[in-house]
Amino acid sequence: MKPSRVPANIGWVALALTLGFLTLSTFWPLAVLITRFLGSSQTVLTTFFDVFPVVRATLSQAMWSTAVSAVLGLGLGLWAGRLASVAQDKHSQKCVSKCISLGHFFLSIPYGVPTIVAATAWISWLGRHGYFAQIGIPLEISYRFQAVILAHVFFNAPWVAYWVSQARTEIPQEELDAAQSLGAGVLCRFRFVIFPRIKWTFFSATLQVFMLCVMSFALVLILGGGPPVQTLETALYSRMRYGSLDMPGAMACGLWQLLVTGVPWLALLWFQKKKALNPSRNSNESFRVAQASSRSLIQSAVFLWVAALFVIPYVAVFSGGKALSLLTARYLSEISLPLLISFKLALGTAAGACVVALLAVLAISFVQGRTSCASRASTLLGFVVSLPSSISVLVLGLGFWIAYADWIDPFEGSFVAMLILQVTLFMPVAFRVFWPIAQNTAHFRLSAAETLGASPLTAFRYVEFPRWRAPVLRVFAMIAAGALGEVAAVSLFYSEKLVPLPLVISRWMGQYRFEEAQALSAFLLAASVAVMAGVQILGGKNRDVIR
Amino acid sequence: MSSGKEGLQVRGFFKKMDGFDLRADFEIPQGVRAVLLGKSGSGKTTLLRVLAGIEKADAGSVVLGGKEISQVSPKDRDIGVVFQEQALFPALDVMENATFGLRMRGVSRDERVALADPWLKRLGLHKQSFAAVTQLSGGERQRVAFIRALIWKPKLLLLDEPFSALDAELRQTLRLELLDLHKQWPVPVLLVTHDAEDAQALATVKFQIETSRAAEGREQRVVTQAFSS
Repeated sequence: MKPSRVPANIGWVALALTLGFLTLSTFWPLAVLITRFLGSSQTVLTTFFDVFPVVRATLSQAMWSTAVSAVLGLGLGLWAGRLASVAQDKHSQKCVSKCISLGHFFLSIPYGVPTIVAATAWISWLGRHGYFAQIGIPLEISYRFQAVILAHVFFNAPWVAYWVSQARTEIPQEELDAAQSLGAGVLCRFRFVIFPRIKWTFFSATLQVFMLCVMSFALVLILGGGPPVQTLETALYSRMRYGSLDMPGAMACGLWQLLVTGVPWLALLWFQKKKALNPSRNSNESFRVAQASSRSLIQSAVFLWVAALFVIPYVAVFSGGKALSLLTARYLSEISLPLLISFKLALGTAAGACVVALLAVLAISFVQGRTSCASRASTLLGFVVSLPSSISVLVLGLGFWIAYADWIDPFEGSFVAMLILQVTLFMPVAFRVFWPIAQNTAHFRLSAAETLGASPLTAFRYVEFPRWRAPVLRVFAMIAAGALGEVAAVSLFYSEKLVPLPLVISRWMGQYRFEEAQALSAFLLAASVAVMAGVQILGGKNRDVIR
Repeated sequence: MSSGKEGLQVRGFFKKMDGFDLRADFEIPQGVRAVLLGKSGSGKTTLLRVLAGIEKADAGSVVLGGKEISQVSPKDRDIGVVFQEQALFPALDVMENATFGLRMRGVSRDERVALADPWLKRLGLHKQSFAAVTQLSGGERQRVAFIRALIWKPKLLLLDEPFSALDAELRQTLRLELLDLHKQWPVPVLLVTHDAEDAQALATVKFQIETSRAAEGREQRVVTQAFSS
């Protein structure tokens, strides 16, 4: 094992701060929620079984959404991955490479689209006065189960495709050539070479999609039309913020939600461990790409169109005629404060999530080098750090609400609660990016720099920092874009004086001010895509680091 | 040693490469071990990939065992290939890797095991028959790659720098093992390498890639025979 280079003092501080943050933001609220539930009266236990139809509806929605997304994503990802291998060939035409990289960019756009924007866009298509109705095709699926599934598939199939494509691209072409020279046809090559290499990535992506669908809030709330399509998330929310407060009902929904997301999360951890044991490409293997052919150009152009299909629904928000009217004094006064709150939240969340994730990375590196059972301790710490990704923000918010009731009045609004919940939500994302970079620290280079007279800090600055700069910026931008349109955390702790931008959109939709909601959504989408494009450019400058 | 229709004939081979044209006209009779020497980037691996059907030539014909195979897909060419980095399949164990070619030809599992056992014993791999290939050393992986390429009795064996990643002692051992295997299964062999020692130890015929400059200024590289031993 590589020795930890984290000095003892910094290591202990990092460990204490990380565990302190996680205790306050996650463990304590969850512990309070569970103990309060277990210690409650018979009524609460009855409520637990009363919400079972909602559990069934949630599972049904999530399973359908996941199954369709997984099948579509697998096919698209394999195709994209094969084309990407061709595009890496130095003899490949430039336009093939450009089509493929633009197609990949299109596939990555859905994760930058705020859910509130997606909901507005789908209403623009499927609503009673939507585009389909206007051209005489009344689909009549808005405010129904099918609309929610359709929106989830458009969100998640590109996610599965993106990861499958990455894994497929990394399969050494020599293995495929070898199988072919030994007589393997297309199906045999898929069965013996491709599938074993991509299966853990595919299963992980599928499970993550399942969890995202179970935890989906804004899309279900707006596209499901409230009561017609109820999931655990919307049921929990309605018990907390609609009408009279129903705490036993909310706790029952929260507990079910923990169970429903906890099991796939444990499976996900196991899959990811398997994936780590079976890396896509062996380090000592040369990486030969597929040979470009004239068919590649046509295929890459078709791929570009297919990838663009997944972005088209969201473009609908740009078609409203009200965009310029938002610049009038009336609307500006209406949205200036929510905009400021959203920006403050986004920047605070991005900075907080990056700092906590970096502390967690430092803490785990420190633990790895110090303790006698280093491997187990660091695995446990890694498990603890990624735990918040398995918990719905609303469940965490409910725990927060109960645990800190003496200090936070949700009906008065709490910026701090919103911020902590969002940091907790996004921190595992940052950690997942930072941890592999930390693991690949070039200790021998740091030692070499030190033997040449550099202090540990100077050595880090010249040897390690260049590897970290782009990922930190990338994660910061990604989280800021995500936080800008995040709905769940802000929905629990808003007040009339503290209404972030996504809630303004949601309210305008409720007041049938669709055009204004569309215009504001267009602004949010443009901001998110601009951030994503910036990230793509930054990532492009330092591809080795990103990998 | 027989010649003519039994072996490999390459006629009028031409391929436009990045910065040069590659041309070749040669034949390798049955039982002959030919070595193609050339620097990195000279086009020798490309030639080998064209023979295996993985890449296409711009012109020329490839005849193997009297049959024109230029338009035949790689899986139907009956050519065994040992790749530079072995290209073993990590999802399959040693036995499954070694007998993959037989499996693709519909040989039953029992028969495959019966056929592979002597090969694995001969190369000292019988104790690891069902181990993951990722657990093998570099030399062991290379031995599995040799077995995988030969066990289904291809009509031609192509080797792409098979010893380049190994240390000197292991190279020597594996060269001897390859010679031993070839004595028993005397198919035509084409080995591409930049290592003169490999050529010295294994070649019965040597080819090299020579460079000339054509009138238009585009570099021409031609495969020529160096000498026969």
